[in-house]
Amino acid sequence: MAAHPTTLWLGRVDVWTNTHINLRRYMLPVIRVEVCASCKGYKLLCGLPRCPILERARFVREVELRVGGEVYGATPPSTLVGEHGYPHVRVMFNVPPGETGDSARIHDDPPSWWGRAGLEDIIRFRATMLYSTVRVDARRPADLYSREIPLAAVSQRPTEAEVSVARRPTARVTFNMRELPIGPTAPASRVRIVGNPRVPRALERLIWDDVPAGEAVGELYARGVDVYVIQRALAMGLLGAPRRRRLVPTRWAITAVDVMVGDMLMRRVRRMPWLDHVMAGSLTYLANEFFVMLVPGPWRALWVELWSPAVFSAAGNYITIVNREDVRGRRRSMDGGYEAARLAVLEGLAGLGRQATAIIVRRIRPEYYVGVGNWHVRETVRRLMGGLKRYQSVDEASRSHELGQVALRHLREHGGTPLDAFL
Amino acid sequence: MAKLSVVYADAREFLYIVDSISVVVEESAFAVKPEGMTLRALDPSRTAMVDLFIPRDAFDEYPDIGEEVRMGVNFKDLKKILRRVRKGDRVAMEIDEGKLKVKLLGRAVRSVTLPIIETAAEELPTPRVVFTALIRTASDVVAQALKDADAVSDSVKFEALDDALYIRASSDKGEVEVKLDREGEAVYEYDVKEPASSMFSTEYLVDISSKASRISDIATIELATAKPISMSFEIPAGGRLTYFVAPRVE
Repeated sequence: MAAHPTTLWLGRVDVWTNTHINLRRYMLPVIRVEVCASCKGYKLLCGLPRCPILERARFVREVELRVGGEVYGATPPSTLVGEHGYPHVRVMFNVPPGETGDSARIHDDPPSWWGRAGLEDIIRFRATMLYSTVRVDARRPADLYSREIPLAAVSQRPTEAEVSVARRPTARVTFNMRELPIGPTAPASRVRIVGNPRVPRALERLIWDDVPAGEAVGELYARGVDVYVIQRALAMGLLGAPRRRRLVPTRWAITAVDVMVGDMLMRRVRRMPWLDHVMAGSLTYLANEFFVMLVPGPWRALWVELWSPAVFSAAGNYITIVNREDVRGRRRSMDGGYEAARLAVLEGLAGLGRQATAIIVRRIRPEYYVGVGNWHVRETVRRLMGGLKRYQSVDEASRSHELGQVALRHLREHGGTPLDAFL
Repeated sequence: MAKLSVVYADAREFLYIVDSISVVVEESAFAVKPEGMTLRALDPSRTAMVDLFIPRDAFDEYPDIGEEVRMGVNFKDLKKILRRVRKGDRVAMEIDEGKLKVKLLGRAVRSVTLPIIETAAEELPTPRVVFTALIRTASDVVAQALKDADAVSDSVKFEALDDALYIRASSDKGEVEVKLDREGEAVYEYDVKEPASSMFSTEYLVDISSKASRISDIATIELATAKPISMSFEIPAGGRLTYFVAPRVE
């Protein structure tokens, strides 16, 4: 596509960088076209610390230059199943051009990113892969099996592949929190897996077995298979009773796995004795601050999410989103961020051998200007749960952490008094 | 121990009772006592209590016993069985050699044996509250009002004034107000000695009212300011199912 001046067309704008700004009706933040048009990445009128278009465009260029008709590289593994147009979905098979082995792996490896990679690093890792796309009917996952893409997706190490693209890749930059920053995409005319995918043994067995997906997920987790591998296995339609298998859009699969594994842990945790003192801790990564407080009581949870005003709009207070889970596991709403954090908290409780009432606070600072997926919620809370401290009381725990006051305020608002006081 | 058997005439109604109890607890024990069957239990968070009493006359068959016998059950499992009742079925529960046998007595006798669940025999008192307001009203009206409230908020305020009972909820999603006028057609008894107002979590009240309204058309609500609410449903064959829910601090 040739460079051309800013044009307005149906809510989209083509900027000179050969990118689109996709203005969806999604949740914010969406930057108004007019703002970008008059800013051109220079004045930072949107209030973000960097211009996301330029940021991505830079990396995207790099990839474009390296992409001819055919690309050789190892997928870390990195695959995505789109949700748009379901059940006719796009499957993306992603390879960093020319990279193999450990240098390929780093392009998609949340557990090892944690604490080391910054937001820009992650955008770069993702944006410097070629996203080759294949159109598939989600109801016929077998169509994919024959191309070996699913096995490469669940491999424990990068798998080398040759990808031929039908046309030059194009990049799209979206300005909203819900879309992952991805690199240039191009329809694949051919994907040939060259390397040998190494599939975890427990998973290999289940692929050929007739086990309902819910059970399969539980079994894989119990056998120590990484949740990120389980997520991709579910997305790629490798799990479930053979005739009922489906491709599952990645975003749905991620939360489905969190819910299934979390519920399994919850059923165990609910039988454990109550924690006998208050525990709390806090941890920050990628401008996302977390605070977790465990209070003696039955398992249930309160989730408070504070979005910095600058992430969403120019003015106003922090926007608060609250979710609650009651003693019987019913959630007020289905929220992928909450489910990711909940999994980590339940893992921690199962490790302690105790049940407790959990209060989880997440504050998103303005520096988190582009969503990079909810893996960091899961990873941060996992590490936080490993470093909890004991406190004498809820008040003491709340005073000792910056976000404790927020927790305390919401706890007062949502907590009831037990009936015991009236018996 | 000798075999012990109780027979209830309407299996479907018994399902409704079990379903209504399971809103509050997953496992508990029916106590078969000389005067009738009772069950009293607190939910895990100890904010809601269920209190069931069915007199012995309400049963088709009831054993002559000197002291109480407990039948611990998992309500989820019991519901699974009772859900398959046919119209006109009777239900029998028998204790035999440490097992609980549930029989659906219809054109055939279908029996399912369940393990007896050991439950802590905690003797619970009912909350000691001097209620200042009593309203007897249509149970489906209450269920509807609570569902309306739940649509905007997770807490609901009951306010019994001289003229009417108001059920209100508000949040940034909106406001809901349901008014039950003391002269209204759905109000059967209205006795407010002193105006009462309390706030509750909708967590239990919504399910309690919608499930228990299938047992009885009439719900009796009792209130006192900043005290638990009592919501009680009469079982047609005799007996009652009462709930207490702790107030929320405002």
